[in-house]
Amino acid sequence: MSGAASAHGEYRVALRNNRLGLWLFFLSESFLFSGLLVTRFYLWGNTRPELNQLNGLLVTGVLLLSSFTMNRAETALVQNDRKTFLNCLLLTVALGTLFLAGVVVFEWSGHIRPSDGAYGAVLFGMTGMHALHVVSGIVFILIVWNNGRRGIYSSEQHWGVEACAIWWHYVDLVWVFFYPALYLMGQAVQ
Amino acid sequence: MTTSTMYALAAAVVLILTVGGGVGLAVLFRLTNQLVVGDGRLPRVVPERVVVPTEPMALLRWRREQDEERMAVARRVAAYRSGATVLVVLAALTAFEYVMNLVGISVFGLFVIALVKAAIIVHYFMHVATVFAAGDGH
Repeated sequence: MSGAASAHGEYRVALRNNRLGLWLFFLSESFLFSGLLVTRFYLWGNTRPELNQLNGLLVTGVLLLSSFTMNRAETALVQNDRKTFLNCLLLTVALGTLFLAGVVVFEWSGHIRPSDGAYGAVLFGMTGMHALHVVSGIVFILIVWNNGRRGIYSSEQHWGVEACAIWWHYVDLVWVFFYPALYLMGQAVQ
Repeated sequence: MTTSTMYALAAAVVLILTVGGGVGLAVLFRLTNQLVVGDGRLPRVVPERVVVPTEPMALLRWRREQDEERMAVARRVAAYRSGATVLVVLAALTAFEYVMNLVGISVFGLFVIALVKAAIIVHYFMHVATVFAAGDGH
């Protein structure tokens, strides 16, 4: 086997292991978020605090859009469209920051405080843990963007980009369950 | 100003607004389409000048390059279109979720919608199938 073929074979094995490792990590993370969801249903029951519905819908839309731009960045790299790849990464960072601002500035500065009993604790616990993951995702994307700018990734070998994209979609996936649990399910109480 | 003149003016204004609005919307849709499902770039106002070679072998090579470029663009557009379709479906489901909550859907119903959205994200965006796939590419 030639050196190049051997290196390619090693990359394939590493890629498989990396994917499996990442998904196992997601499995462990899902226990954390499931625990938070169970806490919400245990403590809030069929009620929820009065939250800004429009803000909830907007930040959900923004996060959804950021998932699309992240997917587009990954697709662009596969298609050797480097400019779109880098631009879409920056767009994803901007949308992620907008989502954070929507949650932190508008929701956290509302009428509910972390010390407001079960409502405050669960709301800040869930949104805070999710926001922490969004921040780590933004940092991850910026690292990938910098690497991409230096030409480290190719259309054939870009595990870093794939992992970053899957991580960002995971953050979106968690919000898919958190949004209805926080904003929609149950009777709103003052 | 007579009543008939006013009616004529109003009709003209409505006509101009309708046609202008229609043309404006068409341009907007065209640009959005180019950005969302196109190749990610705005269309060129002045088309690029194409120089077709006259020498037979060069012409053959040029045609082959043109075909390859067309196929690459088609592949890229198809890949981008798939992502845009998923976005539209997810946005529609989110809107549906919001509206159904206003109507008074049960917690179970909202959970089912969230599960459908999650399945779409895991399959189309997170490519879960690649973990178990026999192929080893990205």
